[in-house]
Amino acid sequence: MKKKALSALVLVLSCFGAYAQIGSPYIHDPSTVVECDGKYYTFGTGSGGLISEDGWTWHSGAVRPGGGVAPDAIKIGDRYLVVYAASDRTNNLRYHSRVYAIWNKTLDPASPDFAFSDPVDIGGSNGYEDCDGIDPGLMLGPDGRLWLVYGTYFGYLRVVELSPETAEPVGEPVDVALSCEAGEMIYHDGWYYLLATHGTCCSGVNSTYEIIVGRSKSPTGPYVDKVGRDMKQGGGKLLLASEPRRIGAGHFGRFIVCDGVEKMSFHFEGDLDRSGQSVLAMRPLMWKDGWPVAGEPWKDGTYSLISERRGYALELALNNVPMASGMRGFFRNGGDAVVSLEDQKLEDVIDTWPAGEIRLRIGPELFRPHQAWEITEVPEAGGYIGGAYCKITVAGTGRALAATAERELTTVPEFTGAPEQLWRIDRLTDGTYRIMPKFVPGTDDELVLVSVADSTPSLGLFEPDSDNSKWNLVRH
Amino acid sequence: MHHWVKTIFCFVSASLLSLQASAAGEGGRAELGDYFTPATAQPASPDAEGFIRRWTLLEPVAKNFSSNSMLTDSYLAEAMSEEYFKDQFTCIPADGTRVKVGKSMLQWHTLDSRKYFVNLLRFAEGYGKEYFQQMYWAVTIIDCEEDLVDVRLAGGVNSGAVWYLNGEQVLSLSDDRDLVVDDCMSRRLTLRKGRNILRGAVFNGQGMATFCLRFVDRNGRPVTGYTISSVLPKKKK
Amino acid sequence: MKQSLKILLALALLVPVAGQAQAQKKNPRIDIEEALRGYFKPVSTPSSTPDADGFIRRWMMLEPISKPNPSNRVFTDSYTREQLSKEYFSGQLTVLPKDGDKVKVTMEYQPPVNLNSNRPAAQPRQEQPRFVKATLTWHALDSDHFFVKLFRFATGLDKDRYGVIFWTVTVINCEEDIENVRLSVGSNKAARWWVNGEEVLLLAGDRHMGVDSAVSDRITLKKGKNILRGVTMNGPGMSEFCARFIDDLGRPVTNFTVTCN
Repeated sequence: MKKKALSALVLVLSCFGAYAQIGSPYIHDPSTVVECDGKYYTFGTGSGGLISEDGWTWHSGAVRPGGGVAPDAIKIGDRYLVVYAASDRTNNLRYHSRVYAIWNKTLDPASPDFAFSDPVDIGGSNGYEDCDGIDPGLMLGPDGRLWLVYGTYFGYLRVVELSPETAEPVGEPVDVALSCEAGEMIYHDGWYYLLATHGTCCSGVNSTYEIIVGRSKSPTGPYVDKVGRDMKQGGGKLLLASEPRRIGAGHFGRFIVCDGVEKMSFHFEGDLDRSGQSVLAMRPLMWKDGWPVAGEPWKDGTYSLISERRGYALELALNNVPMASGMRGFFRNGGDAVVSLEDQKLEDVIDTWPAGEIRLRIGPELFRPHQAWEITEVPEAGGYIGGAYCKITVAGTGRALAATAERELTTVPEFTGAPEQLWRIDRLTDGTYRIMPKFVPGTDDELVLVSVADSTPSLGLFEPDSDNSKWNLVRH
Repeated sequence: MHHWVKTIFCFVSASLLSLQASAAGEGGRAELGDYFTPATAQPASPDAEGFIRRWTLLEPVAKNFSSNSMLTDSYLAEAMSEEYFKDQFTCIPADGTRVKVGKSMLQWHTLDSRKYFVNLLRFAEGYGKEYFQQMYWAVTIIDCEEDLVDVRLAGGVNSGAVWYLNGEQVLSLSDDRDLVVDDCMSRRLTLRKGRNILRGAVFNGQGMATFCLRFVDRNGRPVTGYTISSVLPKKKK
Repeated sequence: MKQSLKILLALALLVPVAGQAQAQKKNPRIDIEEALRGYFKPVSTPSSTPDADGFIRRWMMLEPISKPNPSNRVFTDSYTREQLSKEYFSGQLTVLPKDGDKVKVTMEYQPPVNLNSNRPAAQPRQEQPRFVKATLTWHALDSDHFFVKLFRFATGLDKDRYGVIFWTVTVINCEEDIENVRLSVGSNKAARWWVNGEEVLLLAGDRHMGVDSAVSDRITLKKGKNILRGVTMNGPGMSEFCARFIDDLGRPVTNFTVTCN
């Protein structure tokens, strides 16, 4: 298998113009995204990395010394640990690679506290063994123990325990997977998960990089996939390979927003909308039957907003206008041809709607116009970790969902771009959605759309274990 | 693709297997013996998981391809249509046999892998050969006491390979693959009573070069009810 | 399909209707305790508290006012608001009645229900509504259940049971202001609810009673007396409601007493 072509990975992090979604997110082999003093950072192969003010719009500017490849980063206590790898070619040994650890009090290069410690060699490969000690990944376990995984397709991925104080090894490396690279370990609900890649890296849009996963009850394995195959036998359940127009997913990282809201960061080797360059990407990280799932984010479209609590749909609190056809009897009358009836249309009912604000309620889904919500990204409104703010309007109208100062919901006749009319939609770990106003007048509380009663929507605190806080987006 | 007409010589060598081959034994370096043991005269069995560990491997044949992503289906088909040495699809080489490939004399080595997979990179390195941009030929003999029907040949390879059973192509693993147990399987086959010849070629451009093969039954369980043999070298005159 | 509609249609096929409906017996001196056994008891204590789940069980309940509704499908928002905005009796949004108080109403006549199998039978549609005068009585009752079974209140008192309007009122007594609570109602069928004279909930649609089916905006129950008033209207089929206050976390509010005056 091809080893990472280090020399080819000179990053160009600017001058490609602004992309509305996520700025200039050009990076290869991104580290786990880390938050520091309200900003988000990720480091890549080469040097430096990306910074984002909001977790959505990225630009170059992160600083990491040492060069080398495929760093990872983690916050431990009040310090940040960054690890990266470099290959030693002095003896013409192709797989003589070392992992280095550096510490910093902050990741903000503008901070007076910004100063990385001298690099410390914490492990790697000697050039002869079946291991290529690059692509380090860090995990702080639930018990506070720190673990490092490293390796590439040349032999095995290895796991070694590190001191959380110094990052120096406190145990012997253990082989955990064969023919993988870009390893990362995470913990979830009693299991340790090893995320890694198979496939060809570093070939742009012709890459076949894909993220796979196995799990174990122990950090040192055995990591087994969903069909029971050890990752030392090439096992691995696919998490993500590509998506339309973005090819070659690799270098998984996990970002926990809060209980119930997780994101996975990674790169696509080739973005067809960005000259085939390697870009940072994020997806909702979901969990299903004890296995991680790369969630599809929401996309612009017309949806029913279905409450997880009852299964009812968010709707304008208006008359349910009957359709013309009505009841046709219990038994089909003979002779009549079966015809297809049209849906109720907006123009059939909109004249019955009042002009001003209309309140909301939740009712049985009938796929009527007062239940059809158009979700549209508002590029100029910025974003949040993993997504862009959107407006939520009644399909075919400008009538927009808005938060009120009474911590309730209303619709205003026209979307104005006011922050209380902007919404953040996060896919939750169980696959449902959290719908959250950007701003609620009169409160600093982070409130979300809740189904406070079967028929009544409101704004309330997010409760990850309550169906009241969860919604489903169903194409209308 | 060039069409090379090669003059192939097959002759017997009585040279004994050396597991401390030329490049081995340097400080820190893995040795051939870490990966293989010499095959014995006694027939071998597949391991408990059905993996075939006894193989007669030809020292690698240089192939001019830089990237494993070149290992497309058509590349493999074209590569296997070339003749590299005489009787390449029919010969049953004995350990120590040499063949002429181009201007080089390459030797067959009958080895038992210490692992469930065969590490071709370490094989080549152990005999002091180039290991990137190479094609590795492998042959083994499956002896059955009765017909074994509805079995499948299941393989994984790093990075590409083509496999033949009794002269018929049964498995092609194209593209830049990683070693995955049961990554691909043949259609249902019959291992016939008596001798069956399993033969193939593995391609590797860069990085690690490995393969694993086993037969599985109709329920996906490993088939182990056969023996694996090899052709012993003729005695030196 | 609506179960009651199915029943109606089925009975329309099976029961020879014309002229066979038996008029219900009129019994002016019903033993309330016996008539409502299993569902209500006459109030016998000065005050009560909400139950452990916060449900308000003490209510002053007016005997039903006939308002025939041929189908539960009619209960749109606008119909519900329109019908429950009419004046049915004087002071209907302000009165705090006593047990046994009488109310004179003019209401739409409906023929007695056919009690064959104790199920509703289809009634011939009235081309022109006929109005009758009636005197209805307020009853102070404690529900045996977390819900208030309006239908059994009507049948127990031998009154019209389908297509009727139930007025209910109770008094919430608080020792201090309780802020950020919501009135939570489950209702079969359409209803309007007021707290201290201000409308806080409108429940439209062919709905069924579910706990916390709909809630008001956040309101304040003020220190002292708070008047909670609800009016529920049904068509053919069951009628009932349950009501409680919940806090901002959805937990029942129980730190108040409930009286009928």
